[in-house]
This record gives sequence, C-alpha cells and structure tokens, in this order.
Amino acid sequence: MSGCDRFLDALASDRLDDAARAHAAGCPICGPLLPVEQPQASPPTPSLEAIRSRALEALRTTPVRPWTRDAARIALLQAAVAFAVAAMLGARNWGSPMAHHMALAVVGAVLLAVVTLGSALALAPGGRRPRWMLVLVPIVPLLLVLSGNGAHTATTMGAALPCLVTVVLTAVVPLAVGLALLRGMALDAARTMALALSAAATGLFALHWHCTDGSVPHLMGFHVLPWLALALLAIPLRRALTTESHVP
Amino acid sequence: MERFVQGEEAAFSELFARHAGRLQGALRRMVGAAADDVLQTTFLSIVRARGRYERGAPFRPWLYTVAVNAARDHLRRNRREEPHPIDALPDTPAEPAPLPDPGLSRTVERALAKLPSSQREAIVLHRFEGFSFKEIGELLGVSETAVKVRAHRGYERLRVLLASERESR
Repeated sequence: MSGCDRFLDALASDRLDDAARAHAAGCPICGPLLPVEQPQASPPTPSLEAIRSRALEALRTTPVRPWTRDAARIALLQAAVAFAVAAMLGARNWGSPMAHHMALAVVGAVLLAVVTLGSALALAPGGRRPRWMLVLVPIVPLLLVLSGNGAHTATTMGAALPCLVTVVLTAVVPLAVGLALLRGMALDAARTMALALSAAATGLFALHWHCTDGSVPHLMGFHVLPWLALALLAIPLRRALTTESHVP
Repeated sequence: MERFVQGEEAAFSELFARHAGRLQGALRRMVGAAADDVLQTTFLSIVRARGRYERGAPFRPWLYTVAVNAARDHLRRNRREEPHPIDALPDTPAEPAPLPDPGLSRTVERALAKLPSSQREAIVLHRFEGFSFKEIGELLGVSETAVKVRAHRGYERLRVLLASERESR
C-alpha cells in the first residue's frame, strides 16, 4: 500500500494521523485533499445583502406555522372523509353472519390510527420518522387478510371493481390536500409515500366495514393493490410539483 | 434560534451573518454559479417553514440539510446533475480561500465540479465544511457507512483527477 493509499484511507475514515498529514504535506496530489481549517466568516457582499433583505421581508410577512397544526388538520380531514364514506356505504360486512367481530374491530382501529396518527407521523420534521410508516406496507395487507371472513362473494369483475374505485375516489381529496402540504417541505419520496399510504387508508377503512368479500384474492387485488398504487403514484405527482420550502 | 422562530428580525440577521458567507462558499462548490439563487432559496425556506424547526436541534446542520435539499432540487430541475459546468464556477475560489495557494484551490474546485453530486456533497461537507461522517449521515438522512463510501470514492476520483491535471500541466 503506497503512502497515497494510506492517506486516502485515513482521510475517508476520519482517522487522519500525523503520518498521513506528513505524507500529504509533501505530496503534490494528496496535499490539496487535506481538510481545511474552519475559516472565519467573511464580510457581507452585495449579493448576500440582497438575500438577507428578501429573507427579512419574508420573515415580516410570513407568520410562524407550527407543523403540528397542519398535521392535526389533515388528520381530522382524513378521519372525517373515512367516517363519511363508511357511513355512506353502510356496515354490511359488520352485520354479516360470517363477520369476525373482534378481528374487524381491531383492524378497524388500526386503520383509523393509520388515517389519523399516520398522517401526523408522515408530516413530522426530520427525515427518519416518516420512514417508520413504510412498515405498514406488509402489515396492513396481512391484517386485512387475517380479519377477512374468507368468503368470496364478489365473483365477477363488475362486483369487485367498486371496491377499487372506492379506495381511489375516497383518497382523492386527502391526497390532494396532503400533496399541497408536502410542497411546504423538502422533496422526500419516503415521506410522500407515507402520507399517501395514510390518505389512501381512508378508503380501506370505509370498505373494511362494508365489503363482504373477505377472500384473499379480492382483498389483495381490490383493496390493497389500489392502496399501494396510490402511494406509489403520489411520488411522481409530488416530484412534478414545485417546492415552497426545502426544510426537512 | 427560538427568537428567530418567533419572528424576531435581529435574531435572523445574527444567524444570517454567522452562516451565510460560509454556506455561500459551500453552495458554490455544489452548484457553481447558481449558488446565490440556491442560497436565497435556502434562507427563504427556513423563514417560511421555521415552524418545522425542532426545539433544541443544532442550527448549522439543519441549515446545511436545507441547503443540500435546495441544491439537489436546483440540479434536478436544471437537468445538469453531474458534473455542474466548470465554466460556471467563479474565477476566484469560493470564499474564503481554503488553501494558501489560490491556483491549487482552483484546481481542486475544478476537479470537484467533475464529481457526481452525491460524492461532491460528501466531500464539500467533510473537507470544506468540517462535518464528521456521522454528522453528514444525519444531515443527508443516510447511514454513516454510506457517506464514508461516497466520500472514499469521491476522494479517490478527486485524486485521479488532480494527478491527471498535474500531468497535463
């Protein structure tokens, strides 16, 4: 291993010792790569002054908007949409003689948590917390299948398709509002998907009480698939929108 | 920072005076001549979304995260991900001069402009801004190991570029 290689390894592992520094000091190629000392702040230039003035103007005209307020608003909106659609569709599945009431109630509570707390988690500052929402991708389908009654009642495409349409249409308003809120923070595919998973769960919640077809193929194809597709679709939609603020 | 979040102009001016010049230099290395635009976007971002600042979090890494996000967005929208045009770099090295020899500094910056943006980000934040790999990982939202890999590859390529530039002189 040459001195240059040793220096490179030390540099790239944050372990610059005296020997590595001594090598770099005498090497015309490694020398320029030595980390620089923290320089002092320089006096403001005209371009910096203009930027400062614009930012100050924005500070005067933009009131502080806590992220928790946005999170609470979207959580309430999604809960309202989920309950409204559930009420419109009715609770035929809950009333069915084949229903597993305890399983339905538990999974219904989980879906409500995804709709409300999930949206708040997806909007939380920082890059890491929204990623926790992605564990829902395997968990929600599993729970839906486990709470299903196993009966295959929607045997034709015409009978099954309304479930898919319900998931998509129910998600339109929450997703649109969510995407508008996401413009106020840095572009982040994981966050976008997290918020879309929460928004699209509104339809899952409504169908959960209504749809009497509890077979695995129906639940996966007409409930879970559109839910996941909406979450994936949200990513290019968000990328197409401009970003108002790049704060994480 | 708390005073800035509440909208106090003096507090913002203090933060700006402390960080803007240095951040401008870092952005010049990341996006070339568009540095001022991205710097403005960065500060407007933190003003507009100051409600997303987490109380007690250190300001400088937060500011650099916003700046890196803004730089990435700029590169993506301008479809010149890598490398950013060398002729877009200013004739003088980004302030303040990081090396005693301005010619040498300019050579490093030219080589830096030829790196892929992910490697360039890691090197600018590590070599020029003095962040540790752990801090860079937190700042970029990736693991420390991923940052080390990017930096190692970047430094390796930088060394090759510097060597070839030296030979061509």
